[in-house]
Amino acid sequence: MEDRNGVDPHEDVAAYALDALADGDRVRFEAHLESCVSCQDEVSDLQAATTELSAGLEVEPPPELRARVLAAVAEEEQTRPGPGSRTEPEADAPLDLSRAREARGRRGRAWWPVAAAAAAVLAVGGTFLFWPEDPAAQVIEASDAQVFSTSVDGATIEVFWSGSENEAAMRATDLPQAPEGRDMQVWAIGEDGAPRSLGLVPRSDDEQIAMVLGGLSPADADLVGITLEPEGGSQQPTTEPMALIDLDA
Amino acid sequence: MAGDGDGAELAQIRDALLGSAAGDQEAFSRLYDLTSPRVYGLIVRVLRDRDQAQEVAQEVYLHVWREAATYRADKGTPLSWLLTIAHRRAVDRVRAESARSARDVRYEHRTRERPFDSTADTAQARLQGSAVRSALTRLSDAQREVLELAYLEGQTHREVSEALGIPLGTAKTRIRDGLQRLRREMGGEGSGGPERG
Repeated sequence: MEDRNGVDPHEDVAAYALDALADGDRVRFEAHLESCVSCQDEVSDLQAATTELSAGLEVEPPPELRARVLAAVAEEEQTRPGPGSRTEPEADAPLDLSRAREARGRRGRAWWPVAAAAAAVLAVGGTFLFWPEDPAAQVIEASDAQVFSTSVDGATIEVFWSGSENEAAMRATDLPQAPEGRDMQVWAIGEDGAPRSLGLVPRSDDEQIAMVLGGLSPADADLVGITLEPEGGSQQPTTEPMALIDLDA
Repeated sequence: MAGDGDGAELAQIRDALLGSAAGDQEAFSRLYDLTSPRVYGLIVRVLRDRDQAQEVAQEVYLHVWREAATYRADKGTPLSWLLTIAHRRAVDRVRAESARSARDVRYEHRTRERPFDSTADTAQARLQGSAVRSALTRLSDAQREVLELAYLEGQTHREVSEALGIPLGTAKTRIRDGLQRLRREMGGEGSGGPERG
């Protein structure tokens, strides 16, 4: 619609103060803000005014929250002197998936960092399987490749489809490794029934992993999902998806 | 509660924040006690989900603990600083959730037999609880509406323009006029930057 190409950069100052800019707009405004003193002043003033918008909405938080917050702060203080002052996170509980699933079930996203941390601790010495000569790159670099992507807590997952190659591929950036004894499995989910496995995400300590998604076509699937499964994969997903990529976009 | 206008409370919050910046956990717990109903209330209002609100509130207070030393008095009151942090986090959570809710809903449809219960719809409940709130009552209805959609519902200005069926430019102007008016009505917050437009 109008103004995609910055008419007056100042004009977003109020929307910015209200956190009412979508990501792209926010980034653009922040770039402007860096060098615009009058906008900086106005942002401060307007943010002060926004406090009025939440006056009267007070809700007494549950006592557990206070306990958790203060405990977290106390624990952080203990850890502060440096790593090693505290022992490694419960070595006998590699990844508490039941809790992770629960969190995800509440629509929380808390478990991804848990998995990432556990993976960081445990994935040392796993078998790393590198994919040969990268047939995935042919899809990713195809001139007609379409991209569908999502971001989950710092990881970016992109699915590419090339009509000319008649092949799909996935590229994951900063994806934490599955903990030992688990694999990440990719699924095609179509309108009819059961998810189809597209294979396991190769283990790699590269920050970027690419794989071909054999047999995936946007014509018969509209979602790609990734779940954490027992090593070697499952017939059907057994955990909630950690990421879903929408092929309709 | 008189917002952060109350001088004695303001001073208490400021002291507690200064103490927190120095690493004093006692001071931090006072800061929590003084501010958490306000902070949590805002987060609950934006997220409409108490479990998530608790997660976000915990993140906010941890952030505050870590970053207390970066608070600058010339950028606003301590409460306004806290609420700005809380609001940004709550809104980011809402956006991340709504981006994924459409996908999640379809995933549920495809992988389960049972129909999906429409939790996503709760985010749609609009503008409830417009309790009469001081300076807000001095805005026009149209101004109050855009500010509440943006701030309390976590909508972007584009979403506001779509929700109200008004052009984006109009939404922007209304948001800006409304917020500037609110600032004036609150009386002398800041020394009044130049008023453009």
